Amino acid sequence: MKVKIKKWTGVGTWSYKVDYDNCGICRQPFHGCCPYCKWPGETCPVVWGQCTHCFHIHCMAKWLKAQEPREQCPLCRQKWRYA
Amino acid sequence: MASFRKTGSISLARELAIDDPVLRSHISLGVASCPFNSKDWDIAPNSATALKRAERDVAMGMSSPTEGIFVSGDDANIMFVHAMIVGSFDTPYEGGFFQFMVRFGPNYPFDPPRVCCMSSYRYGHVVRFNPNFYEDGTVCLSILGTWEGPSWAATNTLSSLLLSIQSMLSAEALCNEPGYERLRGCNASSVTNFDIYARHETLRVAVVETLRHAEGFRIPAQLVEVMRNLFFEYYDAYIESCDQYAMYDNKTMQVSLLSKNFVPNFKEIKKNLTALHSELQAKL
Repeated sequence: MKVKIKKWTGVGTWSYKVDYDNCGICRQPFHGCCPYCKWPGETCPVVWGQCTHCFHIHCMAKWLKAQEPREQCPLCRQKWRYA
Repeated sequence: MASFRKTGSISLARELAIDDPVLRSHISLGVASCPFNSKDWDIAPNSATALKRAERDVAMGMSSPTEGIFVSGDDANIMFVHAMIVGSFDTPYEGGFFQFMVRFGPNYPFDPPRVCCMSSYRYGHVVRFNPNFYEDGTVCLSILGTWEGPSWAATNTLSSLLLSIQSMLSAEALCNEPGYERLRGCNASSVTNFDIYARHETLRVAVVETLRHAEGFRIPAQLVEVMRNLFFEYYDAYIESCDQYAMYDNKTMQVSLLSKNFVPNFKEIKKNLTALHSELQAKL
């Protein structure tokens, strides 16, 4: 049997390249969004530190604000520097 | 719903305070870091993150429990959690049912929860179970901000917090107190005396009195169920412990950190344990 393709539609998926599934701060999945956002993706991105740990950007911003003036990664307590 | 969230904690505090003279004084004295004395938290609305994290922490505590740690959400308020830690074997706290009240703040997990050890001053008994558990229920722990050392991080959870508390219920507990660290492993009398005191009070208050008054003190039904089952399982060990330590009975002891002398009476506890056993068996 010969099949002739007349038309095709490409579908792409994306995911964050992360070692763990959930944000350590809000415990919501990275492929979802932080509790303040409605939609995952560009509006609620993931942010990495130089210590290789990652969080929702909104969660991290809140943590750094709560920690002022010390700025530590909440997982390894190293000084937080955006990667 | 919003107004319920605001007032729920206040009414729970009042309700509990009616039962408990020490808790009442707690509120009037304004003991810091007490979950029931959190006026600042009562008026602030809970953030979206706080509600989601609190819910998830409790769910995780229930679905993947750690050995010897049991949690139950409060019916009236999602931000309150009843936690129970069962003392590990080979420690003076073995088989004891330690009750804690944990409260998540409106800014959880960016602020640490507030914890009260309910076993310390309930049932008309005031006990210093551990150097880090004050008689007024305060739990001294660096991640709670009530002790020096590494502070709270937003990645800490209810489970990790309870695990830290569980680890304080160890043998040679007195060595956790500043000034006594050197005595670890030295068989010093102050350390062994404190352990005897902790064992005595664990059996007397954290086992017998706790089970006796479980219903009167609003311990959630699920936790009472767990306690009853474990009581039957551990009963022989409790009795063995009473027999083994009966040699210290009626000897007045000086125990560090206590204002009064302590006179053990393991025989009396054994009698109460046996009575409680038959009482609980009759209810089955």
